Amino acid sequence: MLKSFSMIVLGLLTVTCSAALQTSQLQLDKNMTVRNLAKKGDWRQASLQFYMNIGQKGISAEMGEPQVSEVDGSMQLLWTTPEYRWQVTLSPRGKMIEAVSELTSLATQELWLEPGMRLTVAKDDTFSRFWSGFGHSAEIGKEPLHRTGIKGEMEKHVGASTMPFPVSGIFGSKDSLFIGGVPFDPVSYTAGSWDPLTKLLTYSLRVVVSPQQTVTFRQTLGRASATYGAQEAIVQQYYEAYPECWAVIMGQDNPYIWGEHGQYINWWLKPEPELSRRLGVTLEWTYCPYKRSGDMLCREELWDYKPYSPFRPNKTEMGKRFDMAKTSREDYLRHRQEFFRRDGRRYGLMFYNTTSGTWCEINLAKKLYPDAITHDKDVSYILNTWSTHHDQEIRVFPWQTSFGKVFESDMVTLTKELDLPGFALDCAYGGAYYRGPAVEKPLPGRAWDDKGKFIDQNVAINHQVDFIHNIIKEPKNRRLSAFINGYLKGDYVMVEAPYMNTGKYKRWMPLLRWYIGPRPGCAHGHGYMLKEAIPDWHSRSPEELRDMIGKLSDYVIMNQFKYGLGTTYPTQYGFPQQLYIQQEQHELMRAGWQAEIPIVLEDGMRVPYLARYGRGPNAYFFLGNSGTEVVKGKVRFDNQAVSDDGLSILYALKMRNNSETTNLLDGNFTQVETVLPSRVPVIYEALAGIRKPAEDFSCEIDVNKQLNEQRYHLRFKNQQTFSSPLFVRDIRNFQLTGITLNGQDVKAGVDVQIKPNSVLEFRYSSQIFNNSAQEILAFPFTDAKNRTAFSVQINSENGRELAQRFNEYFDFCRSKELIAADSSQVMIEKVDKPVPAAGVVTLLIGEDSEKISVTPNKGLVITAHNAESANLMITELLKVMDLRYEYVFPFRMVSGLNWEMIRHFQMMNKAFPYQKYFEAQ
Amino acid sequence: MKYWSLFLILFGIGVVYADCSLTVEERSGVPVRILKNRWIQAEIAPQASGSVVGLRYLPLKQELMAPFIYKVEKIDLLPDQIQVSSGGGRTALWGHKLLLDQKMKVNKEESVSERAKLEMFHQYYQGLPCSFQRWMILERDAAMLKIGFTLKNNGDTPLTLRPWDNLVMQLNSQGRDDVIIPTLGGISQIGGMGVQQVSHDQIFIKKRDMLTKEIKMVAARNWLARRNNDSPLIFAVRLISEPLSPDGFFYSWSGDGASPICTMEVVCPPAKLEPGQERAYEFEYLIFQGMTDLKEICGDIGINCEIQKNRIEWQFAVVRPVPEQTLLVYAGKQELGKLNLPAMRPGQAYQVSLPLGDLPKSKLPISGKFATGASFELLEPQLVIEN
Repeated sequence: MLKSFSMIVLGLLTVTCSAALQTSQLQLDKNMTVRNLAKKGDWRQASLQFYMNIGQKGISAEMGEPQVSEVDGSMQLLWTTPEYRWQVTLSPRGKMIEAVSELTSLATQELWLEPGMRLTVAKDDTFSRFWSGFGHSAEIGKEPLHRTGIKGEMEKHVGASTMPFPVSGIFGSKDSLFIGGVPFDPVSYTAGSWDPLTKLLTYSLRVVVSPQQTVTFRQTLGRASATYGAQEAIVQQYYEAYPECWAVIMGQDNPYIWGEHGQYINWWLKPEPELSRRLGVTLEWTYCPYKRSGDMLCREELWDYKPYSPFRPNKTEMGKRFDMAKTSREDYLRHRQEFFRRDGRRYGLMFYNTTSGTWCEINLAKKLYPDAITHDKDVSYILNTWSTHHDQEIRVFPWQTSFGKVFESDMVTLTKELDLPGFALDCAYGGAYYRGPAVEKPLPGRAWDDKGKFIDQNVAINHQVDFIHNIIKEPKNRRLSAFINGYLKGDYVMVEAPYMNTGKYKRWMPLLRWYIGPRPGCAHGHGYMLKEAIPDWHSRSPEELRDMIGKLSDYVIMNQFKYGLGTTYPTQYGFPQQLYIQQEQHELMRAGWQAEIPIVLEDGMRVPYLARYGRGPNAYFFLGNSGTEVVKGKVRFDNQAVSDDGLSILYALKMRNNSETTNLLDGNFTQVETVLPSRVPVIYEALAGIRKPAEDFSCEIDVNKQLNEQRYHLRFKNQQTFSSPLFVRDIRNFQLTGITLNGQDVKAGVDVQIKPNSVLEFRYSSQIFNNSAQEILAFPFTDAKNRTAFSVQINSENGRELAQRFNEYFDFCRSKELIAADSSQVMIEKVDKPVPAAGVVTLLIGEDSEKISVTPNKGLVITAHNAESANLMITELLKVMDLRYEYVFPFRMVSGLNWEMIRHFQMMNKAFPYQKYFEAQ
Repeated sequence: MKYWSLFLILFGIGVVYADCSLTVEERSGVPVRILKNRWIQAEIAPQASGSVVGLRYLPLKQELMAPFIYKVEKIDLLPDQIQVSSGGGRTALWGHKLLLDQKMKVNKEESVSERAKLEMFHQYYQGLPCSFQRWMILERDAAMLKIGFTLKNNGDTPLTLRPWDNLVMQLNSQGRDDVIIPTLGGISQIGGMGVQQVSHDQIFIKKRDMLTKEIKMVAARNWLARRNNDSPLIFAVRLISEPLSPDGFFYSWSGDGASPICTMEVVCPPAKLEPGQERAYEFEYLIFQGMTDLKEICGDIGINCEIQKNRIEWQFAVVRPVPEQTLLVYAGKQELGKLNLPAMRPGQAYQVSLPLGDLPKSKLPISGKFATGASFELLEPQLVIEN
């Protein structure tokens, strides 16, 4: 049908051959010849063409040659037809070339267009696989391979679908050639194909352009190595070229997203501050904090209605039960406001915004928002007892519709009323096409097919995240976060399946992981799913079962490092190892998970779990041996892939205190001899980067880490002097205090002469702690009888609540019998001009400096600019105190692990032992 | 030796001519038990929670279930990861995660001329402290599979269980079946659950274009069925061990888009089992050939009924041979006439027409009484006489 309406017009450029654009991977000549800059690739050159399919109306006009101009390192192509003007600006973007299009309608009628790029490769170039953008790739045979549209496999009970990474690529064993778009751009339809007969690779998208409207869109062209996985390398190039796509609001300073998700521990239950802190919980998914789906405000006129299923008599929020059939609106709203205003920011309570505004109680939608209903019958359309558990819901479109207007307005109102830290967006998936009245508006992201115009749900949800980010613009540390369940835009991503759900992980990964990218996230679900994981657990002996469940815990740990995602308390109770690894897991998560893992293992090494985080001198590699035997061998990290700057990276075995590592700088690789114990995660962290000379040599590295200082000692075993700048790593909450080369001060980034056997040292000092952990822990928090033995003095009233955190801390310790039962509350006293004293914690807010120090007279002083930073510093101090007041959470009944199971393997009130495997003994 | 040979010959003859058989074959790498008579071949996988994983209607060589898939994957640190395709029929327990891969112990295998029977057992069915004895019987010359099970609470606390026949199948793999659901009108909730409310008692048809993904409906009868315009078969599931109403219900869930999946599930009333207490259930899978629709099942007879202008057109099909008999037809309490029904066998439908005489203006339910004493009352159609 569409074919009969459409025609293909090609804009071929005349041959005026010379290099126009170049990246490290490829070159684009002015005659649109794409050249592979790799010496030994699967392809040498290809011819790039832009084309336009014209849909529906059948406009047909040959396009002539474009006007070509060069502007600031870019190449601009311009075609003008009676119907439209299409300007493409080509420029390097990371390792790729980006084509930014502006497509302006000159027609009086609406245009349905499908602009695309296509590459024709040489007849004798051979490729073995085609990547359509989904998680798998297809073997190339004689038949053409293609993907049309963005609907993938149906996922979840709500019937949204997977969405391809916006790429169409071909690859062999050496490298790939690809064209595509940019993730999260407002696009509702893309297509890609490979025809082995004509050697033609295509990628296109569909747009609807109203009269006089200009639609902008972005496309890409690239080449990537296939050495460490072709798809992975392509995705990696996207992370590097478009870091803003995966940038999180407030970055590293976002207080909510760099930890664990509570999985209702702070929503259904009354939050316990110390419990939450010790579990590393920093944000929470506040499921359905309203009565009626679609009405987050709980409007008076919408409060009383007849639900599809009976209201739950025991809806629980923060430990308070509500009978939703009887609770008055005023009572519910009063409690809601109290909960969020009191605890919202402390526990990162992300307000669940009625499934990303994509589902609404059916009668409400039909009555008030009929234009918003998403009539896509290919996906779930009406669901009974879905999000609220009592409503019948219908899918709606939350953007530029009557519902979208109310939805956005409600989010703004709620932000103000409840002082929200952010929103929780459930089912953040695409794959549902809205075709209602709003598609008549000249919105970005409109597409078309044989049923008419539409906008995919992904466009609305991505817009929604931008909207949430901009509800509060100032102050910057109050901006709202978006906690999403899905693969779209957002700041923290929930994977709604526990690691034990191997079926779902097999189905979702790696595509979902590629979309998550360097963002933080977590696995959410029924913990160990013990009933499913060990269906015959009843028949197992306690010993057998303990052995098996211990392995499950290690499986979770291995996967946390593999995917760079956290877990939740159902896997943590009874398994202190899970909490032990949080420090490293969070540090790596902050560095940003990467798709390409440029690592070469010595023949015979079996290492099922590998991951890479960060880049250049801030990279980390994780290796996990899940087998039963120790694995030893040489591991080589490919510096070319890790660092764009031609640096050779030096790595140390990552430990919390001391480590010794020998690096062999061998060609473009850094090689280490590694020992991978069974079921122990091993991490190498980059320390520094140098420009290595032709000579291969080794480097011996000693690392010494203290709470307040880190020292790195490197001895180069080179035979010949060489010149190189030194680049050293960044360490969060530490500052570089000095670099010396053979005892002489040198500066980072400046060329220095590195003579044979040179010794390089660099030091960092903590921006928080002035003292070692031993010195801090020597403070008399408790006396010989294990009773609290200190007081807190504060210099301002806004420090009183913060000082109470010490009481919360020791209340927890008392309740867990870590200190004496008759231990008293810590006394807090406001003093106008506090003087540090022995046995006193002095909290000084409003100071120029920010430090935690032990004073000569054995007092403990916390100085901070403001209450917010003082709060963060106290959190850091409490982590240190945990070393002295360690609490191991015993088994308890959690999702996926019930009492009967715990009793069966005889672990009631007990916990597994753990290894301090990130600490040298 | 001579006697042994004779035995083998007789045994061979027996196998060839016996109506029912039970054999073991491999499907997807695991042994399945195959119960077979002249109408049905049912494949049961003890390793897949004792599910019916294959069902073939032999006269038409029609597969009613998607191919069984059983995969075992080895992953370090984890027990064997078993994946079982979700097609087929099994006993689930409402509110408890469905385990598809429990290994049932085969306790008994019986194959005689009159019937083939398989019995399986699990001590902790679905991971719960309750044992599960499941049996299946295929009888000679019956287009029907009998499925029964007994649940026993082996724990030390009471268990409330709601068994559920989870059934994923299709009459035609190319297009989604309609599900035929006899339901009561005017009820929106049962047992704290919302159900699809309809205005009056009726045979509700969940058609392929119904937009609600899943529905629960109050049971007006103990059976539900499925039909497909591109199949001559009607398949029904019937609970015969107890009444479904008022606390049991029907459940049906559809796949998205073009998916042919549309389940038909009978969810039993909740049963509280004290420690040591047990409870038995019995279901039937019934296959009627040749009928265009199904309005009622009475014993072994499937009944379709359509009211034309001056007559009632009846269709009957059976799952077991039924001798000739009469059927008295009533509208309300008024007798409309007597039908002489021929001897009926599975594999075809029998059409009978009943002329309507002069009747007063009325709206009356249609009912019938067979000569055997079995009787029925149709939910629909109702006889509406207008002047």
